[in-house]
Parts: sequence; structure tokens; C-alpha cells
Amino acid sequence: MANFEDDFFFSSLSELQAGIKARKYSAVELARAFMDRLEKIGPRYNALALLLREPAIRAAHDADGDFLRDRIRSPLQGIPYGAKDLISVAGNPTTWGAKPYAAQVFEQDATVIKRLAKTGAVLVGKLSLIELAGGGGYRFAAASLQGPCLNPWDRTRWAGGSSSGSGSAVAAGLVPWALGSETSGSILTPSAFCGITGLRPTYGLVSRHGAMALSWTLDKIGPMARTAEDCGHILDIIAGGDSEDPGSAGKRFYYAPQFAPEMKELTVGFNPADFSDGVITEARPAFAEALRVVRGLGVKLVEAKIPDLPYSAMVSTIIAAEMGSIFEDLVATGKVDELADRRQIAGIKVSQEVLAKDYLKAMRLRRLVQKEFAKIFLDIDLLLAPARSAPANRVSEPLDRPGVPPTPLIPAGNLAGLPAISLPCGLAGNLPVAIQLVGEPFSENKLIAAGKAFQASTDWHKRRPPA
Amino acid sequence: MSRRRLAAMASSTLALASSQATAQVQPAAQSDDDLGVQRDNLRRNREQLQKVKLPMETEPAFMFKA
Repeated sequence: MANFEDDFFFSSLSELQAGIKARKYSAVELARAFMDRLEKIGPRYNALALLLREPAIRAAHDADGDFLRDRIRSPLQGIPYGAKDLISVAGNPTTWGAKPYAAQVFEQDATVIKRLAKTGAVLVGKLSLIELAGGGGYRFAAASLQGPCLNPWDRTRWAGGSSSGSGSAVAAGLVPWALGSETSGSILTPSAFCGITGLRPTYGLVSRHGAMALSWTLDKIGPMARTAEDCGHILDIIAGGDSEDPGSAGKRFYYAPQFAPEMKELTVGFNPADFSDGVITEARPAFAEALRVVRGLGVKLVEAKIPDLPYSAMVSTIIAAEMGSIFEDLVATGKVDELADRRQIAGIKVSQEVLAKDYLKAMRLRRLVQKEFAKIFLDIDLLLAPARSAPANRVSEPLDRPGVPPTPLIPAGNLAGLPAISLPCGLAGNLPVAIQLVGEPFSENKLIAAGKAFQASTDWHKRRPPA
Repeated sequence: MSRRRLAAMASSTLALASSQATAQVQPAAQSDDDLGVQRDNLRRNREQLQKVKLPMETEPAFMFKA
């Protein structure tokens, strides 16, 4: 049995797979090691929803068989991962993080789980989330079936939401990577708060079949991992058309680092105010340094602004209207009252009152947002901004505390269906902060290339929380 | 099975309030105050949307594509 040091659990996908190929350990040993850690340390952070020990061992055993025959299906073969517990895994509870659905079991795997299984990835556990992905507008980090998901960098702080367990588990080295989902900020926020790399794919690139619907026109599934490169390998597997998902773009994604643009070919737009008044004072040195590093990559940095539109009102209205329809029965049966967060309960109830004209107005404005972004991307390749304006909130405080500047690029980018990557860029106090890069639809290779270049010049993605 | 159907099935079966729910979840009673806050949010959002004027021919992004 291999003996794994603590550092080992923070290895990249390629490092982990290299160890299997070199026969230093087997996929079964690797899965056991991560599951032992998930079981032992996961509860410390409320990150684990369900350990999948038996199926994981079976999958890892199959992967070992393939390795023995030199049959390499993918860079994820034999590598453990976790999935946000709103993604169905056949025959096991998929709780959506919410008490009314605590015993819910689906007969089918979600498409992303099927795709990963075919390439030899080893699902070791379901990870906690904000109940119903937080669409009702929760007020406290405790809005989850597992309780508040804690940040490995500081357990008095929140891991972020709604892909809380995915962020926390990757940051704590409980899994090498995890699936998260984003309607508006749910991959980028926990990635930024937990100091990991998160990729929000273009709307429609990754099938959501088998995942909880919160907003049909906004939901995306994406990877949360250690590096931009890892995100590329994962997206290569999970992306692709799916007739079972009405929102599917029907496109594949091939991670192609060999064709990555040179940084000097890229024009990156940013709004200087985002890096000064747009972030809290303690975070400014880290963001200023990040800007300096990006400039040092050789990209052409130019000033750019997104139009002044009511992005937050738009995204809230769209989520409320679509969620209101999706969870109509939950409200009608009164089961909504079993949720953990009173503000969230009220939000879901009030979502039944959204006017059709408001939803339509928000959806019409969305066209405008798309057009405006298309214009912006005529002149630049990527937009750069802080991923969040402040580090992780205190678990004990309400999440709607005043004094934290908004991050409009998150709702704006989601409304336009744009891909984004969150890259750790420093610490504010003892807590991670991150930048985000946003690209035009289906520009993930460009985003990953820029992220990889940034991570070649920094080591924030390699930092780990105190033990 | 579509996501819409999946969501509908899950909502309607609701055989679901189970013993698996952990003790960490606090019982949450309905609160008029919280409903009031959320209705205010809805109203504020509406007001902000109304401020932006759109050409009459702008169609909603129903079949949303990025």
C-alpha cells in the first residue's frame, strides 16, 4: 500500500496520473486514499454530502485494468473526483442540498457523470451545496443540508456558494477536482473564496441533463480544479452536444494547448476602477500585483468597460421566474417550509408572483447585453476583473452585509452565456482572492491559455490552506 | 428524460422529507418580514428593468443561445 504524504493530495491531474502509470500506486489505492481523507476531514468543513466508496473502488479497479493493458482513455483515467450534489448519480441520493429532497434517488446518471465514467474518471463522493443552488436568495451560509460549508483557509469563513462543497473539498485536498455548477456566480465565487481554479463554460457547451434545473436559460456545469490546465482536460471530457438537454449548443470542446495563442497576440480589457474602488481596501495590493503580472505576460492591456445595465435585477428576475415554475409544486405542497434558510423560503414563495412582463423585459434586455458584449469582443480578446470584490464572508454574518462592492461582471457574463475562469491571485489577510477572465462564447481554449500563462508566472494556485 | 421532467418528477413525488436530513438544518418558520424583503426585492428589480428603454422589435431570448 502506497504511503501518501499530505502534499501529495494537492497534486495536479497529470502528476496524479503519472504516478499510476509509473506503478507508484494503483487507481484503487489512490481512490482509497482520497476517500479516507474525504471521510476523515470532509466533515470538518461540511463539504461531503455522500461518500461513494463501493462504486468508486469498482471504477478504480476497472481503470487499473486499463492501465495494465496500456489502454489510456483520458487524462482523468483513474483520477478521483467529486460532484456537486445536484448532479444525479444513479441509485444514490441526489439531495439538491435541501431537506425536502433528502431521500431523492434517480435511476439515471447525469450526462456529465456518464461521460466521465466512460473515460475512466473515478467518482468518490457527492459534495455539499447551498440548498436548491440558492435560487431563492439565501441570507446565511447555513442554507444547506450539511450546514455551513467552511473555508479550509479559515473555518470561521464560508466556502462560497452555491458549489460550496466542491470549492472546499478541492481546496482542502479532499478531491483533486470537482464538478460545480453556475447559474450566476456559483462556480466563480467558491473558486475565488477557496483559492482554486474554476471554469464556467459557455452556456450550452456542457450538458445539464440529470442536473437540478434552477434556471433553464442560465444553468451551466463546469470544473473546479487546481490549475487552468486541469480545467482544460476536464472540459475536454464533459463538453459536447446532448439531445437530452434542450439548451445544448451541440458543440464539442477539444483542449488544444498546442494551438494556444501567444500572450502577445491577446488584447485584454479591464476597467481600472474595478481594481481600486471596486474591491475592498485590504484586497487592493493583491489585485494591483495581479494586474502587474498580467501586464508582464506581454498581453496588450487596454481599458474597457461593460455597459451600465441593471444586470443584477435582470438575473434575479430571470432566476425567480424560471425557478418559480420549476419549484411550483414545492411551494404548493408546503414542503418549501422545510428548507433551512427563511429568506430563501420567502424568495421561492415570492417567485410565484413574478410578472410575465418583468420576465420578458429581462429576457429582452438580455439580447441587448449579448449585443453589447459582442461589440466589446470586436476590440478585445478577454475581459479581466476581480472575481469577487472581497474575500470569503464570515460564516456567522449575514451574506447581505453592506460595504462590499458588487461584481457586475458575474451576472453580466452569465446573462450573455459567456465563459469565464477564476484564477487565485493573492491573499487579503489570510484569505484567497482571485481574478476572473471572461471571453466570448466558446473561447475556452483562449481563457485556459491565458490562465495557464498567469499560473506559470505565479504560484497562488499552488498555495494550500494551513493544515 | 428532460431536465424539466426530472424537476417536475422530483417536485411531485416529494416522498422525500427523510430521516437523512441532518440535525444541522434549522427549522425555518415562515416569516412575514422575509416575505416583505423578497417582495421589495422583486419590486426594486422591476423598477430597475423599467428604467431601461428598448426598441419595440427587441425579442426576448427565449431559445437562449450564447
